[in-house]
Amino acid sequence: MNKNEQINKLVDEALSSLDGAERATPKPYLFTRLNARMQNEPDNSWDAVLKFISRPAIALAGLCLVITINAMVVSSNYSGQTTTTADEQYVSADEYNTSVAVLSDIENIEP
Amino acid sequence: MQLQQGDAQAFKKLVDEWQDMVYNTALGIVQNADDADDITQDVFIQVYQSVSSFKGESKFSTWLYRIVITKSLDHLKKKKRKKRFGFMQSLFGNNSDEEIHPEEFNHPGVLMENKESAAALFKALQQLPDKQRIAFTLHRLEAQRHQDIAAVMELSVTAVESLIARAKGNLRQILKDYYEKNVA
Repeated sequence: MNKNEQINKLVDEALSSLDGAERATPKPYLFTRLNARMQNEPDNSWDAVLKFISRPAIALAGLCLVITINAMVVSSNYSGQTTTTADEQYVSADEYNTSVAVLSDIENIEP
Repeated sequence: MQLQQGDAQAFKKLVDEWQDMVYNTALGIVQNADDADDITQDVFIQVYQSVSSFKGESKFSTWLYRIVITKSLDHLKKKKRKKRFGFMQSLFGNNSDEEIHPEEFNHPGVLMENKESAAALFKALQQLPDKQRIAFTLHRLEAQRHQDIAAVMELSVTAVESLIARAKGNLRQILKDYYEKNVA
């Protein structure tokens, strides 16, 4: 038998090696171990919440939401600053008397 | 269903009836007896907690197989992540050779004369894509019919047949490469 035939025979044997295989069985007293584990495990709903939040899809969606909200807040503030009208500027100039440039001008106001 | 009313005896009966199926499927996928035992416990805990969500639209075995497969694949993903971390640690001097190169797996249900060939087959199975591996495992290890596998995997029967055929083809190639390197 040459090497190729030998390899093909081994491959066929491997592929049919599960023929007649029986089901594997777990270690004894599974129910007892299971019961003990269920009684020892506290009902930690916080774990479930943390597990849910730490899912990549949820975490990524949350991150996107925070970034979007931040971007919206920043852009609304920015646009609020640039839309100051000429009237508003005039009122503030009048209120704070910004037309007076230097201190000497105040002292020499003519009656 | 008695179990949906929290009946402990009904739960014990369910565990006794289905434990071999759950364990054998998990073992076929994760190829480690201790891990399969942990997964079996996880599966039954989930069954106990979520049995109320089982509406009976599919067979109970189909529902159970889905839980086992999901848990087993999740377990493998976690293990892969740990291996990557172990590899990083080994670069910095910590010895984690055992985790990086796991021992050969011997399924306890395989006939004695087939043990060696089956070990090569299980090693080759690790290299298959998840869907092919699941379809092949359910078909060969659990002796499930194509229709039942299709129901578990939520695929058509034709798709399952195609998955199994591709799995066999890929396994043949992987085993051929393996034996070419290892046969004198």
